[in-house]
Parts: sequence; C-alpha cells; structure tokens
Amino acid sequence: MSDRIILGTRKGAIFVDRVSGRWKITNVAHAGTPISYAACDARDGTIWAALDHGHWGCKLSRSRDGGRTWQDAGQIKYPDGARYIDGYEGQGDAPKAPKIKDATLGKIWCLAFGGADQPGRIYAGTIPGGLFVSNDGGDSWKLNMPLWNHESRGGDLSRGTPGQSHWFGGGATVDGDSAPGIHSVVVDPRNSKRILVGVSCAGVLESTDDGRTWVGRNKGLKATFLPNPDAEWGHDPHHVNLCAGNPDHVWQQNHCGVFYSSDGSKTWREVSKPDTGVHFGFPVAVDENDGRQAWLVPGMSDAVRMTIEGALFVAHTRDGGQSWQHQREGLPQQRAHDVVYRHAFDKAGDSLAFGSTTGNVYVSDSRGAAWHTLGNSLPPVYSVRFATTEASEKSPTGNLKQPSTSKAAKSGNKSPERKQRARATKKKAARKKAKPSPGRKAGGSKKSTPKAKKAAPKNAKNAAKRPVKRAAKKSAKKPKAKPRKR
Amino acid sequence: MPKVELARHLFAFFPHLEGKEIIVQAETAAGIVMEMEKLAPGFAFYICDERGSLRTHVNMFIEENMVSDRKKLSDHVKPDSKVYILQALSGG
Repeated sequence: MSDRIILGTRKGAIFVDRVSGRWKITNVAHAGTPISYAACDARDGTIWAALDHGHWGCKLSRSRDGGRTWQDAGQIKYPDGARYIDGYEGQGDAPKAPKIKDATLGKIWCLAFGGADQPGRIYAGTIPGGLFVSNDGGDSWKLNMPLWNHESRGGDLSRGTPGQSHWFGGGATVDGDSAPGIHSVVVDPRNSKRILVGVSCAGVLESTDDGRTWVGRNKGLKATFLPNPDAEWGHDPHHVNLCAGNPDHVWQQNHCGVFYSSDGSKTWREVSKPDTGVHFGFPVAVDENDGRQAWLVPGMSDAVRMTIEGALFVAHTRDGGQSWQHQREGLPQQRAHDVVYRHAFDKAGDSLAFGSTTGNVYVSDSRGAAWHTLGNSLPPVYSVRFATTEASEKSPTGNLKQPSTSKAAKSGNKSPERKQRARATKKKAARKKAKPSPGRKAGGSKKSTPKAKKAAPKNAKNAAKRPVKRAAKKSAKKPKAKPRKR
Repeated sequence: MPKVELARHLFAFFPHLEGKEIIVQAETAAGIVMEMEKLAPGFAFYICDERGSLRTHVNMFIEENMVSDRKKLSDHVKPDSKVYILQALSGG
C-alpha cells in the first residue's frame, strides 16, 4: 500500500505520509522554491524534484535518503546546435520564413522512470519540447535527437531547408515565454522500449524501438481550435496515461475532450460526455489492472478553467468512458474554484489523491467513493505522486524494487470493488448512528471529520446520478454551508 | 585581480563560498563566470543558460555598471574591478 504522497508545489516539495492510519504532512523540502514535478523512482527509492528557480533557472534535484537531504543531479542542458522553429514571419503572400531559435531550458515539465529492466533509465520532458534521457541514474542527460528532429517539427534544422513545423503553443517557461513542450512520458511496463509522449501542442507520438524512431498517434482526436479538427498534428493532449497491467488501454484528457484508446493509441475515440460535465480538464488517472477504468477531475471549459458551477468532483468510468459517475463525497460543492493541473492527480491501488491551484489537497482510500482533505491552505499544487516510504528510504545502491504500481496492483487484485462496497456499508452504518449536522455539508471546511461525513453522502450519491446543472441547483437549495475558511 | 560579490541567495546552493573573499583572474565578465565555475562546479548554469547568456532574472555589475553584453558577457573587467552577481528584480 502506498503510504506517501509527494506534492510538487509553488513553494516546495511537500511530503504527506500515512502515520498510524492518518495522512499527515511530515516534511517540506526546497521550501519556497517552485517544484514543477516531484516523484519517487520506485526502482531504487530516489526522490526527484524539478525546480523552477525564478532567478537561477530550472534545476534537477534528488534525494537518496527519503527527502531529508538533497543534491543537484546532473543538469539538463540542450546541446550546442539544438534549435527549433519558433513560429514564422513574413508579409503578404510571400513565403513565410521560419523563426529559428536556440533552445535553452525553459521548464522540466515531467519526469518518468524506465522499466525494471532499465536500471538508471530516467526521462525528462521539457519546454521547449525535448525528451531528455539518462542511463546513469540522472548523472548525465542526452536529448533524444530523433524526436527533436522529427519531421512534424520541421526535421533536422542543421540540414538543408527546414520543413514545416506543426508544433505550436504550449506551456509557459520559467521566464514567462511559451513553447511547445513534453508533459507526458509513459513507458510501457510490458515492453520498456515502447514509449508514448504527449506534446502540447502537437499530439501523441509513440516509439517502439527505445526512442530511435517516432510516429504520430493522433488518429481519432479532434482539435476544434484548428481549421481542420482532424489534422494529423496540432492536438493538445493535456495528459496521457495508460493502464500498467494492460498497456494497450491508453487515455488522454485533451483540451478538446476525453479520448480513450484500446489499441495502444493507434486509434482514439472521444468519450466525453459534456452533459455530465466530462469534457474539459487536465489530468487523467487510470486503473492499474482494468484499462476501462479511469478518473478525471473535470473543469468548466478552456475559457473559464474552474469547477463546474462551483462544485468540485471526480468523474469515474468503469466501462471505457461509456458512462461516468460523479464522486463528490467529501469534496466542496459550493464556491470552489479549484483547477487541477495535469500532474496533480495520481492513483495507487485503492488510493487516489489530487491537489489544486487553490492549495487544496484531497485523498481517497476508497477508489474515489469518499474523499478527505489533507490541506486547504497549501501552495498551488503542480504535481501529486504516490510513493512508499519503504521505497523512499531505500538506498539507491540496493536491489531494484518493482514499481509501486505492481504493489498497488497486487492490492487491487484482491477485489477492490468488494473492499469498496464493504467500506461503504460500514460507513453507512456509522452514519446512521451519528446525529445529523445540517450546518456543515460536503463543502464545509472539515470534510474529514465525522460530522462533515454525515451530511455529505446523500448529496454526493444523488449528484452522481443526475446532470451537473440539476445537481448544482439542488445543492444550492439546501441549507447554506459555511464558507470555506482560508 | 577582480573581486566578486554574490547575492546571498547563491550561498544556499554553494555554501562553501559563504564568508569567503572571492578574488579571481579574469578580463571579461565571461571570464569571471568561468573562474567561478572552477571554484564552485555548477555555478555557471545558475547564472547563465546553456548558451552562456546571462539568465533573464540575473544581473551582473562591474562596479556600478550593469553588463551591456548579456549574450556573450564580453564586457571588460579591470584588475581592480569589483564585480557583483545579483538577482534581477523584475516585479514590484
């Protein structure tokens, strides 16, 4: 069972550990420094943090003693000659000339770890769109050139006339610039030479030969912000994730909806259900065993980027996106403005956790059926990743450990649905015993207290079955919940 | 030889420099950064990007003058110059 959550936040890496059955903040590392991504490499227990020093640039830091002490790792630098097309310029009908820019590190957007058969293999996705690879545990890094020189972004700019680049837009760098970047790197646990990357904006690319060649995997996606929504390139997959136990099941929360593939990303189908609020958002979590099960934290729309009608919920599907259930118990249902970024949602076994831009962090140990609050006044959260203290405390020189997902999967194999039902029945019995508490509902500030739980379930259960608008209206008619204390 | 003064914040990353008088042999701002890298491996990437250009939010002064060539750091440094490496304020 995962007993540690590592948060990458605007003000440091925050460690939340399960202590005597309760989640508790135990450590803040790099206090004051923005951490764009933090995670534990379950293979050797090293904890990684990608730092966005406002003044001193992006740095990679690692801890080999469970987060107590940190050292700079080998730093990620674009090699001499690494250039990219940063738009086009030209007037009228004259041919447009590409603006070619020297690449410098703008952000380390994500980290990913190689397979169990690849000790020391670590990936970093960056802005501008680079896939950096280390084979020595992060001491040195190399830019993957086949992807850097991919035809979709104009080919090898050092040779002849550049082709057309279809990469554009993208994330903000530490200096406030913007460039297309790599935010998702997913390694197939079944075959670690198969890698998927998600690029905003370009789409999904797959390599099946350990990064030597790359092909686009965007068939079936819709880019409604393009003149041709079915274009091969230019898509915005906010986050790409797959089922560890069945890696042909791949999901993405895209700018333009939710997409699911059951053939390893060769074809995608849209499974958004806008009438139930499932359309826009950033992260997607996928079950480790059942590739048809996924969880999202939907938001209103790209124009608004906040909760839908002020209510925060998680959407869960068990059938590959044909139907979605809302999970609201323990989450604020009024006046919530939370946005959950692409890396700020994770799942391990029966546990799920997410953090928002408004500094709220929620965890569920019941597959999302009920949530409790870890904090309401934390810094904006950029990443949430489960770990085990056992892995974190492990010396990197020790034997390789199986990824945490396999441990989680092991726990999941013991009929998680049955466990969930058993827990729900137990809770129901406990609620019947307790007195009603009309003054505090799911949106109250102490959601993990027994009192808060009393009022939440009815609202949550009903809301899961009805369209978003109705759910919000009904919730508004109920006795006013106390505003959240901040 | 030029004397180098650092922003206090940098001592968090290079604690062994704290409280030391830093005197290096260099004739340009770029040379100062190179010498600092020898004293504190990794220092240059905190001050400059991988192309050797001064980071957007870092300032370098030679006496009271901000370096003018932020890209190549070719500004001349006299033997008795005092060089300051500081964070640039870019907000309010």
